[in-house]
Amino acid sequence: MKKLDGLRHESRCNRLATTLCACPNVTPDATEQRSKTAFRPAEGFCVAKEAAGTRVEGADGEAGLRRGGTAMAGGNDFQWCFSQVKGAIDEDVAEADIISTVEFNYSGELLATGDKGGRVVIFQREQESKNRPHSRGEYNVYSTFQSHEPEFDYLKSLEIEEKINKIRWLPQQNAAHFLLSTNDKTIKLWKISERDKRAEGYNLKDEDGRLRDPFRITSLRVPVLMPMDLMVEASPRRIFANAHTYHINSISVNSDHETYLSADDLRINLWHLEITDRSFNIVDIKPANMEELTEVITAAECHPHQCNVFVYSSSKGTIRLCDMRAAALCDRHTKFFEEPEDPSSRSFFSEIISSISDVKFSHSGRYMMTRDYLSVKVWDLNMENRPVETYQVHEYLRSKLCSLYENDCIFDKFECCWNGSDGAIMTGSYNNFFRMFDRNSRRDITLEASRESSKPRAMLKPRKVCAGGKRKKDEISVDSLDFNKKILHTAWHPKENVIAVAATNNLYIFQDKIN
Amino acid sequence: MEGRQPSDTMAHGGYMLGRGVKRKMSECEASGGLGPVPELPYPQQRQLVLDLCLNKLQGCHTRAEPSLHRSVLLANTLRHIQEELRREGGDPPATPAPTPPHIATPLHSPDMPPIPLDCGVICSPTGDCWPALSIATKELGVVGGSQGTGLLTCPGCGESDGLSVTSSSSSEGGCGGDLAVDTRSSDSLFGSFEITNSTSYLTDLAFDDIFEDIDTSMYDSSDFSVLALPPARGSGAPTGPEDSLKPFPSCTSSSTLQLCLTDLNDLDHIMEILVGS
Repeated sequence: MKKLDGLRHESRCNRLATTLCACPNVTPDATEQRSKTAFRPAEGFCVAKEAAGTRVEGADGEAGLRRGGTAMAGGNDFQWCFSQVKGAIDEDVAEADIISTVEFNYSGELLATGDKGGRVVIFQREQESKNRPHSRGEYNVYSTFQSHEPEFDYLKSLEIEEKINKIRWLPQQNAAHFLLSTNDKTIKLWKISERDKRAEGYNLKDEDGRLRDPFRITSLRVPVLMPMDLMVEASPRRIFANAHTYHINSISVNSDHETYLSADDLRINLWHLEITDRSFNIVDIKPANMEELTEVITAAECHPHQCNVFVYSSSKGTIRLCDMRAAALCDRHTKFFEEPEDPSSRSFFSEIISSISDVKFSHSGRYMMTRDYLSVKVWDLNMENRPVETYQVHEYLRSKLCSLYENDCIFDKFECCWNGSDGAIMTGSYNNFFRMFDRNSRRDITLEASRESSKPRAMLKPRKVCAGGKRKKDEISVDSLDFNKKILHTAWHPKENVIAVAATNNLYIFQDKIN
Repeated sequence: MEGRQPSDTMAHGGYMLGRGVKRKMSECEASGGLGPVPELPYPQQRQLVLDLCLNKLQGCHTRAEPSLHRSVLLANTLRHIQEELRREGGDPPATPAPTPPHIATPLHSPDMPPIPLDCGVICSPTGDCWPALSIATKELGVVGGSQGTGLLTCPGCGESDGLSVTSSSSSEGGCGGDLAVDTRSSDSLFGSFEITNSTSYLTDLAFDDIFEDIDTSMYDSSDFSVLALPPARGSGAPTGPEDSLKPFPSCTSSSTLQLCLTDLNDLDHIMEILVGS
């Protein structure tokens, strides 16, 4: 990727900062009809498939929903409305603008995105104002900075991309915010701090900064702190480099808030946030003879509560849970999660579509979710031989795998996320569709992130894909799907029903209407 | 398994990917859609996937983002197909091998003369040919499974009977190269994904260090004990255009020797001394 000159960089940042559809002072229409349920099962399609005989009663999920903050509706009825969209509307998208990661911080106040150009843009939620009680806080640009630059590997004559693969926030401990961002090779710890005061009334220099002639000074004064326009500064505090020979695919902050892990295709390293010149290698699956390589690490995550536990997923559809207390090198897993293959659905592409692209622990720490090409699976950490829930994301693609293999879409890596109460999960699909599954009601919905439905607080209409046969009105046929419009990255606010969906170079923010 | 239609695939033109025959792209494909996918019989499907696999592996280095994950998946798919073909070719009809029912063409007779291991072209039972994987491995360094799969071991070796092997046009009669391709190319596919730490090679090193390993044993101090120095260098700092050359830190000799060595114009002077002594 070519290095951009400063001017183009800035103009792109400005484009990203533009809210195309600002929500003006719209008073809610009192006579607005509210449909009963937004979460309707798609007709004849994609009902959550239950693992035989192992249906989870959803104890955690339901209680969680009730326990959830007041913002959560008591029931499972979400009504998603458009809130904002960030990014340019140009037809031809600059590759550097393609969003490559989205992440809320722990409070949900900040939303960070990384893109292929190595930039990080952080949005901050505005405080709710009393004037507009019905419109929730908007996210506006808080800070923009260039996190990674392209590098060149001289020995291999390869360019190392500056694309931000992952961003992970650290829990906030003081006024400043910290996040980790990584490209293929280097992880950086960034500090984002505010400055809203400055000292005025210096003796030796005047307001412009020019030095005063000391002989002209006749009296002394004490500088005072005056408020100034808020300035947000981002500075790199640590650079964790040269620990990965292969491309980094995951980083995960540990629950001890002191360490974090980073995973590449073949190895996982454990770092201390304060120490940059050393890391511990805790998993190494590189075979002595590279000829024998048949499996790579695809994702890794620390357990949310137990700082000694982490999991990593593989390209063969397996997940290994490791306990760092067992050994220094966790090459032998503590638990091994794999679902036996269904022989009736075996095809040439079975292995490719079983490759896990994302693994996420639930907030409770009791479950984990994995995303493979066609489905999302929820696993109980206490049961290794099969998932407790399986949700088909786009089963209609199973008969099209050959074409998807041909155009390389079969290698797309979709992410998935939990909502704050672990009662719902979300993942992306093609044609700018994204899917949400309610674990308790077993209902699912398909929504679209598109400019057409980008009117202020417009309710999103559920979408349906026609797998075959007669296409009903409002349905879209499989062959008409746009496979260049893929939603790989989504994020769910940790406490409220606010979601961020990255569609190529645009970031959509949707909110649940307050019931 | 996809449904198989009795219709003749040749009527559709088949899938000729990888053979230089362009396939018309439908409109919806151009806009990012999938386009119509004719249903193929299993062997044709398998061959299509194999072709695609080889193409993708060949092109993996030219991609903007080389991915080890993708290459491993492709190699595994390739290996799986090879295993299947080997099993099909190797099992005589008597054994209850789970061959797909659509392979109606009889397997080739195993009466083939012994042929060197690494041949150019391998033909499938259906009569289609594609470049032998051994050639592919030489080019791509595809790893794994090459020892065990029948595609690389010719019938002459007694392993697999179902495949007829002919020489490719690229290699005359016998075949070039040796089957030690795997060891040679073992890292050429998967090894090329390593990121080395050389990105800061030129910026990290101090100028001095670059010349650290230059052998200066010729200029051992014992030979130069009577070296006379030009007065300009007596102060200890190199002057003139040679300023940019700092003294070699690996020189253990005294500073006078270092100062002498930094001046390349004095090389002749040194040679005179060496020859003279």
